[in-house]
Amino acid sequence: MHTQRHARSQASALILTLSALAILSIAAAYTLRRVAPRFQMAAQAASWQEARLAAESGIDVALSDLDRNAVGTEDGAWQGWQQKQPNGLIGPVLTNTLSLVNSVLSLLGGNTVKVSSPIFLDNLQAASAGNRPTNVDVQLWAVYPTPSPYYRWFRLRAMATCALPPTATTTFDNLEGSLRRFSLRQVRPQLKKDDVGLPMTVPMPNTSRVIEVLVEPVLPFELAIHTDQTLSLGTSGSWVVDSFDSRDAKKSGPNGVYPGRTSPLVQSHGNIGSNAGRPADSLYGPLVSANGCIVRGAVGTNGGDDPTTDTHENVAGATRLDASLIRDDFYRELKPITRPTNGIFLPPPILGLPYSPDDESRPAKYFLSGDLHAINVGAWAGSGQGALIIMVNGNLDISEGTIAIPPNVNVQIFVRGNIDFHNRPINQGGHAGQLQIYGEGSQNEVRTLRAYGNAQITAAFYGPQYEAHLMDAVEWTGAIAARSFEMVGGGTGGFHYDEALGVVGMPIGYRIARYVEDVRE
Amino acid sequence: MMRGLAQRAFTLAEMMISMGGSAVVIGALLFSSIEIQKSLHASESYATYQSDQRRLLDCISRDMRRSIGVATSSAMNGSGGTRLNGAAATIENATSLVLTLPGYYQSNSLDDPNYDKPLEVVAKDNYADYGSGNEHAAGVPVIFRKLYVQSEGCVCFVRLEGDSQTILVRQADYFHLTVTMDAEGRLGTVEVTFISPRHGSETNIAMRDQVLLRNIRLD
Repeated sequence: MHTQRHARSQASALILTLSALAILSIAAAYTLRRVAPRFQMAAQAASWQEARLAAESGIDVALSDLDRNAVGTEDGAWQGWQQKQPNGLIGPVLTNTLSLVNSVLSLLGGNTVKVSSPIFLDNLQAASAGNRPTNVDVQLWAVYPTPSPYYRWFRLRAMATCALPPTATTTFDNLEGSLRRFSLRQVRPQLKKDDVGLPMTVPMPNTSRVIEVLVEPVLPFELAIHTDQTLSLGTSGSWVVDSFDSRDAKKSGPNGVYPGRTSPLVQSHGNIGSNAGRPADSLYGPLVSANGCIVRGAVGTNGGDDPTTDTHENVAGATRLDASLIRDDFYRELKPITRPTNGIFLPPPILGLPYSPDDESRPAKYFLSGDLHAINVGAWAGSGQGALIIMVNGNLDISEGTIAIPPNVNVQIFVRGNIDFHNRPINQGGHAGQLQIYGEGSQNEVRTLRAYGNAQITAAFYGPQYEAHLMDAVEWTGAIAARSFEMVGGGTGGFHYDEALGVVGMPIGYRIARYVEDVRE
Repeated sequence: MMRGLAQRAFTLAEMMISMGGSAVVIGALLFSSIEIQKSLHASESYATYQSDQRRLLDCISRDMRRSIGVATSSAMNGSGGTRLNGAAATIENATSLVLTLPGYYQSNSLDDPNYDKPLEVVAKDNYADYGSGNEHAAGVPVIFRKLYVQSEGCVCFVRLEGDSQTILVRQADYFHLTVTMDAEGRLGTVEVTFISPRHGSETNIAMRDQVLLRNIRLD
């Protein structure tokens, strides 16, 4: 009897304990079931973020290839890129693809922009922070806003797909679905059109994001004066840096020439900048010597300005500068440009005959193994602008005579030797964009660009290996991008940047001009 | 026999001790169950709020990243906005955040079959951008606002673009949105906070995202 009572009491305790455990377990399970998907959303949102990062990395890869293959005068080899061949098959892109697609441009209705056929990178493997499988497809189109084959933009479109955690079979809230648009069971048909080439290999469920950018060329003459090293402005007189726009009658004199320094038409975009940096043991100090000159525009340096002081230590002699336009966050790489290597090269004209231009889309090309002196250029009888390229292995030396260019012709001169304009007038009455001079240098040897006296020069010069020395009262209308720039003297001379130069010349790099995310696919 | 039965019953002292002990145990059990329930409920609410917080943050950051204008406005249609630069704005009451996106789509009407189709690239003044004819497309204002939504029966954070309204967060009374732009107007900080749902807690749960605007501001 005693044993029986004891046994019954033990059973009650067991049942009570089990019941309590069961209730607690049910409560915990219910809560976990409710909470877990919400915390899972954190992992899904992380994949969604990684998809954007992967798409942007696809854009970066394309930009890097643009910098490698689409600067200067020649297109490079687009390794890893593919294109659809005329027979519909997909294969590696041909060498000089952009030159080829240039010949099969399709005109978009209603506007003058020409767009090439796309080339693409297929199934790039991107590394994601969560170590989830990620694929990126990138498409690239060349866009030509003007007839010039050099002034081309690019449209880049990258779709990245990143795997979600395998347990993600649903979103607990439809609000999540409308924002992140996960592919839980199948991929939306709209997204499939961006999955060019082979289908992506990322398993379901996954998420895709599409980034599209328009890329514009970085051109060699975007600044009045741009140097890699020292930059020293006029040391005496009323030497000034200012600007005008030869395309705009309200910002220039008759026929688009510089209107004169006291004219109200003169503009204030004579921006100058130096890439030079300060030594590690002296971070703050001058990098540009303004020497009391007036600069009607911004002055940029690569550091040098102490953020704890109100003064601008990065510019010496800045008394006549607008302090609000002095910056210390400037750096823009000056990449060497090499001459064209394709096409038919003509010998220089004999018996003093003029150089003959051809159509802008197929410029006439001349080659000189020696020096180039004064030249005359014949008028262009065709429609639009005529163009001419002269490649000089020796020096460009204008000790007498000049360089005379008709109004409807653009001339590009590639020089490997030194350049000396002496005290001669160069391209007088013309526009700076009509005379573009590219200093190539040779095997990293430093070259010089020189002018003195009352030389009046209208030209745009780009030469990362050239040291520009102007003396006395030289007046330069145009732009100079060089290793260094020094103006000794000044007088009534000055430097007058033509804003029309901002859109001429061969690209030295690319930058994003428009960024969008396609969120409606 | 009588004595034997009496021996099987509890004494008063035993009863009182056992009842007291049981009361303490059951009380502790009850108290802890209620606390656990509260805690689990708070945990669920916290997870929900945090998910809402992340969604609001991500959506605004996504739009801010590609925007060409950042402003605040008290008008329903976002017009007459004040450019946000070197300042912070709290998006509450009648104040809304207006992000201007670059024109990219052929239509902003949900019913239009061209709703998801991009514009072509056109050139004007040697500058290429999305547009039609010979004109670049105008910016598209997107409005973020906290308002009472009849169909949801609660205050919500909504995103308004063209004729479409997207609900981002329901029960948005608990959420506070602050947007700060740096002095140069290129770097924005979006901060979303909510008060911890745990009873008696006044802890502010803040999450913020720093966004570098990818486009040059045109406002």
